Amino acid sequence: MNTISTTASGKGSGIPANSDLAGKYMTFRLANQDYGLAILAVREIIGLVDITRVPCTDSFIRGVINLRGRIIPVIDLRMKFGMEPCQATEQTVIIVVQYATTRGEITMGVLVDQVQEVLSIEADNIEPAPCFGVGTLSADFILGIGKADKRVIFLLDIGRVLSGDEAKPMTLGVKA
Amino acid sequence: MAAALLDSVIEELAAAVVMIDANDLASIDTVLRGLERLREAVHSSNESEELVALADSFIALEKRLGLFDAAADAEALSALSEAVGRLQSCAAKIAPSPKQSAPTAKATGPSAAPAASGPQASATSPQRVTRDEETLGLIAEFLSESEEGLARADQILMQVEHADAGAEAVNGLFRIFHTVKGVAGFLELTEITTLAHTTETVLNRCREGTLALAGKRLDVVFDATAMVRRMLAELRAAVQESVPFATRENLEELLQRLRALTEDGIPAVAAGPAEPTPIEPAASVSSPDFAPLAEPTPAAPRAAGGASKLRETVKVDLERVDNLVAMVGELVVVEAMVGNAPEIAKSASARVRNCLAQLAKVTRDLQDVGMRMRMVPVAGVFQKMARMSRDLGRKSGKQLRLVLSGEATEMDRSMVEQIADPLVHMIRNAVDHGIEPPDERRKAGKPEEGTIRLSAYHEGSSIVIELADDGRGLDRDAILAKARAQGLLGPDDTLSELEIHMLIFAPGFSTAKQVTEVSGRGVGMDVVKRNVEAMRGRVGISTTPGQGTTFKLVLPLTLAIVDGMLVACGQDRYIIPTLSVIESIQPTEGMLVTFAGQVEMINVRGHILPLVRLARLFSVTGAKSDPTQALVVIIEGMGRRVGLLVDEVVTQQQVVIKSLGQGLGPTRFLSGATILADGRVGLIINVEEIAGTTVERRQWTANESAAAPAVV
Repeated sequence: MNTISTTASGKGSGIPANSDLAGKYMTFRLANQDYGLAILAVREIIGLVDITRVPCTDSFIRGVINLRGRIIPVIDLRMKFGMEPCQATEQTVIIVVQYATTRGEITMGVLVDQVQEVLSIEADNIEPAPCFGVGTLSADFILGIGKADKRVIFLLDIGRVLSGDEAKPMTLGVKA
Repeated sequence: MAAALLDSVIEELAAAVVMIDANDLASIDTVLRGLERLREAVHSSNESEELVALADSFIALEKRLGLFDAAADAEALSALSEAVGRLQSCAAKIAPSPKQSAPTAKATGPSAAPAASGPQASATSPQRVTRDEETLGLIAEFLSESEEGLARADQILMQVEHADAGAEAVNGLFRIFHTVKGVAGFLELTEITTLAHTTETVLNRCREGTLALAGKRLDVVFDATAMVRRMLAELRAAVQESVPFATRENLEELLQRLRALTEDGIPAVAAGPAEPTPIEPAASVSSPDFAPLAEPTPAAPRAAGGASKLRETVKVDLERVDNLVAMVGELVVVEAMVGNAPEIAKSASARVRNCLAQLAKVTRDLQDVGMRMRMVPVAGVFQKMARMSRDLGRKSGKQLRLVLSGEATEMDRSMVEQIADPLVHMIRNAVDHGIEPPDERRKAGKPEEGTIRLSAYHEGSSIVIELADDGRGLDRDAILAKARAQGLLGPDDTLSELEIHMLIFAPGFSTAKQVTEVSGRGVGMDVVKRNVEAMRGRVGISTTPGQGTTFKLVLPLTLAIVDGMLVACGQDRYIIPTLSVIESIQPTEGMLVTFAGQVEMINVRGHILPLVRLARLFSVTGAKSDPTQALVVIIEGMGRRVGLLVDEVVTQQQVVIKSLGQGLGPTRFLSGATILADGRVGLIINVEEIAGTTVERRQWTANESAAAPAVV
C-alpha cells in the first residue's frame, strides 16, 4: 500500500525552535548512518533476546519480548524506514524507549544495528529538518539534523516515528 | 384494627428510615417496601384525609429514592426522615395510645420486612443479638469504617475550630454520624445508634442553618465523637473477650447536652420549625437501661474457648494489590523457569529437590493468596438485581420473586463489575420473555407469582452464575421464524437444538412482538454473550417448554490467570484457553473434506466443521502440512465450533495473562500474551475471533453475488 505524504507539511509550525533541541542524544546506527534519540526517551538498552513473532501485524513489527515480566513490542527501525530488515549481529541491540501519547505512556523496543554514544549537541550545531522533496519519506518525525565531528545525525521524534498515524511503513513507491 | 395495622406499618417504616444508608441498596429497598405498604394501609383504612395526603406526598420522595444511585443524596434522606416524623405524630393523634402498636407489630410479624427490628425492638429483646460469624464480620467492618470516619470527623472539627464551619464541613460531619447510625442500627447497637442519631440531629440543624456550629456546640460534638470512639473501643473489647458491652453512665448526660442544643438553639434563627426531631421516639431514649449488647451466645460455634476473633480489614489502594498480584505472577514464572532449568535438573541432589518443592508450594500458596485479595463476594451485584427485578415486575405488571443464593461466592473484583451488565439483560429477558402474565400462569397451573432464581457457585476451577426462571421456556419455532425473517438463516438450514438457542444471542435479535420499556430491541442478549466471552467465559442455555429457561454463565475464577493448552505450530507456540477447547483429535484421511479444492472441513462424528489451518492463518513457516500427521483442536466460540489445525499439543498449564502492550496496532486473533516457562512470550489465541471469521467466510461464499462480506 502506497502513501503519498506531502513533504512541505513537515516544515510546518509544529517544528520547535533549534534552541529547544539542544541537549543529550543517544546515537545509534542504521545502515551506516547515524541517528539520535533524545536521551530522556530512552529507558534502557538491552542485547538481542528471543523475539516472539506476532502474526497479522505490520511487517516492521518484529514481535514482542519479555522485559522483566512486562511484554513490550519491538519494531525494526530499518523496516520502518523502508530499508532491508535488520540482520542480527553481535552489535544488534534493542533500545527500549518510553514516550507519552494521548492514550498514555507507551514502552517499546527499537531494534537498531549498533548503539554509538550519548552526545551533547548544542543548538548551534542543529539544522532544521530539510525538505526531502516529493516521492520520499515524510520528514515529520525528524526534529532536526545535528552535526558533530563532521558526522550528520538525524534527530528523531520517537513519538512520531512509532505512534498512531505513522503506524504504516514509511515507504513510498520504491518499496511496497 | 385498621389503625393498629397502620401504626405498625409506620413503626416499621420509621425503623427502616433510621437505618437507611445511601450505599446500601437493601436498606433503601426496605424503605420503599415500607412506603408501599403504608400507602396501601392508609388508603384501605380511610382513616383521615390528612394521613392520605401525607402518604401520597411520599410518592415524589419515593421516586427520588428509586433513582438513588450509590451517590449519597443526603437531602432526600433528611426530607424522608422528616416526613416520616410528621407521619408518626399525625398517626399518634389518630390512635390515642401508640403503645398498642407493639403487639400488632408482632402479629404482623411474618410479613414484616427484615428491617422491622428497629432499635426499639432490640432494646426490649437483647437475646436477639447473636454473634455468629457473619455478624462478627459486619461488626469488624463497622468498627474499622467508623473509626476511619471518626478520625475524619476529628479532622473536620479541628478545622472548624479555627475557621468558620463551611457547609461542606458540616455535611461531612453529618454524613459520618449518619453512616455510624445506620450501621449501628442494623447491628442493633442501641446506644451507639442513639448517640449518633442525637448528634446527627444537632448537625442537621447546623446544616439547615438554624444553628451555628461553634463554641459550646462544637465542644459537645467533640465530646460525642470521643464518646462514640470510646464505645467502639469497648465494643471491640467486648466482642473479643466475650464480655457484655458495658453501659455508659455518662452517656445519658451527653445525650441531654446534645438535646439541649437543639432545643435552645432554635431561637437563633427565627424561621426554624419548632418541632423537636420527630423520629426520636423510635430510638429508645426513654429506656436508659440498655441491654448488654455483646452478650455472647452460649452456643457460639467456636471451639477456641469463648473469645471470638474479629475479622479486621484494611483498606488498600487497588493499584498496590494489582501490583502485588502482578509480581506474584512473575514469581510463578520465575519459579517455573528455575525448576525447569536443565542445570538444576542435572544436579538433582535431594536437598535441592526438596528446596525446589518447597519453593513451588510457597509460590502456589502465595499466588492463591494474591488472587484471593482481589476477590469480592457477588452479593453487591445480586442485591442490585433484586432491586431491579422488583421494578421490572411492577412495570411489566407481572408478579415475580427473585430468589438469590450463593451471594457469598467470591469472584475477581473486575469481573463482578463486568457481570452486572449481562445480568441486567438476562433478568430483563427473563421478565419480559420468560415469565408469563399472572392469568396465563394460572391457566398453566403454575403459581401466579413467577420465580427467578439467581445463584452463584463454584464448579471446578470456574464460577457459575445461573439465572433460572419458571416461565414459558424458549419458543423454538418463534426463534426459527424470526431468524429466517431476519435473514440469519436460509429457509432450509437445519440447526441443532443448541444452535437454535444460541440464535437469541445474535445482535438485534428479538422475538418480542413489540418493543416494550423492558425489552424487545434485541440489544440485550448479545451484550450478555459479548461480555461473558470477553471474560473468557461461556454461556449455556437449557430450556423446557412450559417449565422455564436456565442460563448458565461459566466464568473463569479470575481474569488474571487462564487454564491454557500450549500448542505448537512450526516454531511458534500459542495458547488456547482450555475453557474454549472441546476436544482434540488426530484426523484420519476419511474425516477431511474439501470444497472446491479450497475450503477445508472436517467431519467429526457426523458434524461437519470448518477447518482452520493455524499455520496458514498466522503465516507460520515450517508447520506440518499433512493434517493426518498433525492435530485438530476443536474450539468453540460465538456458538460455533471450528477445527484448528496445529502441529501438536505441548502441554496444559495455567498462565498469567498479560496485555500485549500498546504500540502493536490491532492484533487480530490474539487476546493477550503470557510468559512461558522458558521466559519467552507466548501468545493467547482469541478463539471467538477465529470462530467468527469462519462464519463470515461461510456467508461470503454462500451468496457470492453480494459485493461485500456480510458480517453477522
